[in-house]
Amino acid sequence: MQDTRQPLVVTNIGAPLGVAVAAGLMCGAIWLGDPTTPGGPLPVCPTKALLGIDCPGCGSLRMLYSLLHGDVFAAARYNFIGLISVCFLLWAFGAWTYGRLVGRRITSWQHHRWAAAVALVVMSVWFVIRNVPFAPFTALRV
Amino acid sequence: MTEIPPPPPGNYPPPPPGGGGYPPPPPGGGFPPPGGAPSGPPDNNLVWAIVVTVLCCLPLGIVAIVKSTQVSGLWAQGRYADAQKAADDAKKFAMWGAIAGVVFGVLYLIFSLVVGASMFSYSS
Repeated sequence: MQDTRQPLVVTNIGAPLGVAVAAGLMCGAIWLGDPTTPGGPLPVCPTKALLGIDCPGCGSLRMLYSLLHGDVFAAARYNFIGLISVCFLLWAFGAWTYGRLVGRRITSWQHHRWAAAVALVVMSVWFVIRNVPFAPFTALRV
Repeated sequence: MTEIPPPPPGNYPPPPPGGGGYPPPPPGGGFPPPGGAPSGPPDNNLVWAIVVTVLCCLPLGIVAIVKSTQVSGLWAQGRYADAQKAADDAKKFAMWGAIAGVVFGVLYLIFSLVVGASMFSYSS
């Protein structure tokens, strides 16, 4: 019986482990690539490059780079909503991994009835105010 | 106090003592399972939609979030197949956004390497 349990646990935890490894590799690439210095190997946002506007995700690489170096204020400056999203994503990842470990579905914020609607409103407002071309809002541009 | 509450509509279970005509929503979830429904609402793939929006920098992520918003509403209306379709669409758009982001990143890397190499050969 003990032998049949072992692979089950491995497959349960395999998907979260894969996500963790992918996220770790990405963080390593961001650390080495240093997106805060222009002209590095990491790409500029395609939306920014093609259309010249700030999308809700613009500045995320620099935000993650600052976060990896412990500079939360710089991270918030580069992409505030991105920083908030990272917190929620870590929460969802934790709940998902825990659910896989204990073998049942753990309800997290993304299963709430209004979660998707709130995310849509926040992202839309963020998209608009980052591109408003006058005084208080131009500080949000990256 | 002697007033008899109206009978609950449809096939809802009898009201709990002191409550209204409807059963309270399950804690934390907000998805009352309607009678005869499939096991539960489909995963709205909201997490992947947000990952793509924030990291892959493409409006496809926003389309995926829009699709995610439709899942719970359609499910609450009893349109289970449509809810499943919206969830699948959210996943599809998030996936295409991620693929487009990765392809763009790889192309950019190749481009910058080629430009860097040619600059290097010019300067040397």
